[in-house]
Amino acid sequence: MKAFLKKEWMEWSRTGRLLILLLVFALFGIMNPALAKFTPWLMETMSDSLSDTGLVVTKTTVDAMDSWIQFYKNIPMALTVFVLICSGGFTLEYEKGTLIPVVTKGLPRRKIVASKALFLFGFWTVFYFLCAGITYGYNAYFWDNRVAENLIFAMACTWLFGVWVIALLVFFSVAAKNSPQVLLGTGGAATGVYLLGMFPKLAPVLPAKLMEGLPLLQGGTGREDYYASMAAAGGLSILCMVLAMVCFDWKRL
Amino acid sequence: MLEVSGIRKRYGRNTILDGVSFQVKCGERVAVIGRNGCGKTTLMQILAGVMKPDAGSLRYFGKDPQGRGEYFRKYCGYVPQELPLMEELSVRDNLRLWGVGRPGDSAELIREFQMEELMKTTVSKLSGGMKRRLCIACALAGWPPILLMDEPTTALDLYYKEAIGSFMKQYCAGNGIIVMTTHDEREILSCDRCLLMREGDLTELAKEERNMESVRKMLAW
Repeated sequence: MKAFLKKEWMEWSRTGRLLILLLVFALFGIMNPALAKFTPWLMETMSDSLSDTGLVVTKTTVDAMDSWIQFYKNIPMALTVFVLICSGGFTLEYEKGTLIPVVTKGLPRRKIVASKALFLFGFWTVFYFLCAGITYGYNAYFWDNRVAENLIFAMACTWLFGVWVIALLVFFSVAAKNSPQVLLGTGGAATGVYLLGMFPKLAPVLPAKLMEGLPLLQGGTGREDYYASMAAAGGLSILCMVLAMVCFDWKRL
Repeated sequence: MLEVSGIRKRYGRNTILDGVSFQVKCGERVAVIGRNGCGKTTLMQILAGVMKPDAGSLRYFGKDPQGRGEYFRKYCGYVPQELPLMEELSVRDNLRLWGVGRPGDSAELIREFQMEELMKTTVSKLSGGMKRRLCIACALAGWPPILLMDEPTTALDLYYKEAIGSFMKQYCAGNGIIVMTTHDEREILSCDRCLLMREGDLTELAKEERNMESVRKMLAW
């Protein structure tokens, strides 16, 4: 198990996956306050051309909330990049047969899934909080984060949504044969849940609700409105992991 | 001794292995031959613990290794047909991954396979022959008494074929068991026994039948 974890670490670090994701999440973290900061300047430079079309631009003021709005716009993109980069984590190993020696050397199959999932969940947590931390730091420097209510809780909700998507990624990585199938399955399931959100009765209990963090920050909704979707995301993540481990026992390597 | 009894395996409606039974004694080298897709790799993967059989039993020196990962690790080394190496890692890292790193184990293996100067080389930069040698070295971590090799010399030049051949002789001389799949007539002749796989079962070939002409007739090629 220790050797396999070490192998995972070496693979993450030497394939450049770690560095790319680190840069992407750090960049998104910087972009959120930067976009908010430059909005007044952008509006000012565009005011002349906008006035020609009849639009009048008044003086724009920004605060930390604008930066958090950017955060909620950007984090789905960062999560998508994470899923894209990690979608081959299992399937490339099936294609190359690199899991065969690990199995013949006695590592139980469930520990292989657990180790890979541990790295995915671990790095998602590190990168997500790196991105949020950078945004928080810049916001505190330029403005005041106190304008955002329930900030930690809202961050935890988005993180949990990511955990659910990664649990889907693990399940489809075990069930599918190649990377496009993994992406199709994960993307399809996540999109399906978003579509289910169109039914008003279902929307409050779906994991997709966890990505609606802005009403929480603006005080429009309370924490209790998110408890059901948090429980659903947690339960579905555990279910995905259990199914992944059971499927992997029968997987042809 | 390696004892295989009544191994069955199906993929959907296709029966791949239909009650395969055989025994291999210590010091023996056995070749398993047959057409592509006849189930040789499936059999090797079952023997190595990569795949579970639908029915039948497997014994390594009287012990049932199924469900006990440590038995497979202790008794068996497996060299798959495809090279299961991490191309972006170095030779040293790959050896460590397979468990070559225990005191006394690594130095001997590295010397045996002449890889002393390649330890820091990235696997992707090695030739096919060197990769195959590295693969065998990896499978030998802990010096297991049974070595399973799936077409170990495919696409290798004569030099590497000779080198691997002489290693196999040496391994069996030390009471090791080798079960290998092959399509190479010279390799078949160099083995102590030859098992022909057809229609999910194994038939042992007599010494005089171990030539491509007889095999072709048996398989009606």
